[in-house]
Amino acid sequence: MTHSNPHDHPSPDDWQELLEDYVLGYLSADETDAFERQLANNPELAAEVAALQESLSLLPYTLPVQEPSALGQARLLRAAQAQGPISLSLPKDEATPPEASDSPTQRTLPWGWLLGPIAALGLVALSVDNYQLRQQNQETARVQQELEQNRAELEQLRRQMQEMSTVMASLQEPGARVHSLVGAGQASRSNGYLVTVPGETQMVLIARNLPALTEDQVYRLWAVAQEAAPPQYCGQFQQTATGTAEWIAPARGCSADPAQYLITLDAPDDPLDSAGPLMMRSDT
Amino acid sequence: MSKLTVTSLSTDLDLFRAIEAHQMDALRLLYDRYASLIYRLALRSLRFPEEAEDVTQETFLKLWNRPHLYQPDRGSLSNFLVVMARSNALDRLRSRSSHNRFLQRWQSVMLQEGRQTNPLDSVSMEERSNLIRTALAELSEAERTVVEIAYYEGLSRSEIAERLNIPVGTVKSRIRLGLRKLRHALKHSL
Repeated sequence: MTHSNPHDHPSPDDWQELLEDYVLGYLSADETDAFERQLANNPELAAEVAALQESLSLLPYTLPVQEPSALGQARLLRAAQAQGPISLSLPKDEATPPEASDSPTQRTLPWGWLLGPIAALGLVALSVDNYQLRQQNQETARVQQELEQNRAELEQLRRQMQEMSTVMASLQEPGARVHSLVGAGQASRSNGYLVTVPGETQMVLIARNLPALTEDQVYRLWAVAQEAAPPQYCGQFQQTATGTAEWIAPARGCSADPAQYLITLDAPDDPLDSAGPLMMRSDT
Repeated sequence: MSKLTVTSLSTDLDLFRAIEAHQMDALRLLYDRYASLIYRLALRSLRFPEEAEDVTQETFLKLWNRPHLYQPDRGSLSNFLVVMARSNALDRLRSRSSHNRFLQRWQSVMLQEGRQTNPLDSVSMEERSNLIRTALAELSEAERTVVEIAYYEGLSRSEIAERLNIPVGTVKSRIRLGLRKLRHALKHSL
């Protein structure tokens, strides 16, 4: 949205719109700069912007709980370790050198000239020890970190194996058919497989990049027995975070090697005599 | 410098201080606490799990690499993460570079000073969820719809009007009323 004069004597209504535009990210870079200059001089408005921003930031708490891949944490920690090396510098209180040795007491010591080098040698030795200890501690921390990452990856693999066990079982069924699927429309980047067993009603889908659904959305599978035949409804599903789904088709005909399978995006209670947008189809 | 002790019970601010000190365990704990929230937000905006994963990674990695971007006296850490993730997700949607836009947006998004602790720091995730659900209940379905489209998808008022097939003026008034009700309902909590 553009504002011809965003800060020339705006009315309260203009302010309100600017505020909304700002928190929703509608302002151009120039408008943002102008508005922020106003904010800097108007603590009351700045407080209002902050409060509105905090309010909006609570919105995602209402979304259905979805977890990122368990490998994500390990990936993040690895990247953080690679990009953000632990600082080797000593903190100020430890790194500050001793006070300069120009106090009267030191100057009166007859062997003072000798104390300096000895103290310096001692400090060097202590520093080396300290440095080596730090190195060892860092090495230990690094190994522990790697162990934690490996544990997280193993845990994720274990979960994936559990999820895939259903898929594997269906693939091992005698006569199992694997239909290749390609994305369409909004899901053009998707691909995957549908596993069916002729005469059985169990359907298993394995998909990549299939858009995640909201609570009020489902995917529906349709079987087209032969060219120009009306699609037969074969059940609806929502995929898991890893892109798999398992459901029971309403009829055995759904697994009878139709000419084509179609997957559409619908609402759970949409009528079955029409279909939403096409998202995937079998690659015939 | 002695290592800061952090646990899953540490406040967001304590975790942030430990992250400033490059303590990896603090980053892990913060990720445990907020990764799901950030991922949900990114997934709602982008729809593709892989891209939502990337946004989640980049959000935490940016805090780790550039902790000075967050200033505790300007707002809660969760708000900072959400604003950063939303900006990243919307910029991906719009296929534009995110960096400058985010910095511009964040660096002065909250200019009030002197607030040392944020009320949200002491509110559990479940309580936050309840807070916003109660607040959203004040909005009509129509108001909630336009606010959510604007927030998650970054569509302009005219784009929302086109999608919902309603006048732009209606979208404008629904957004205004929706935000006002949201703000009012959360007034005593934030």
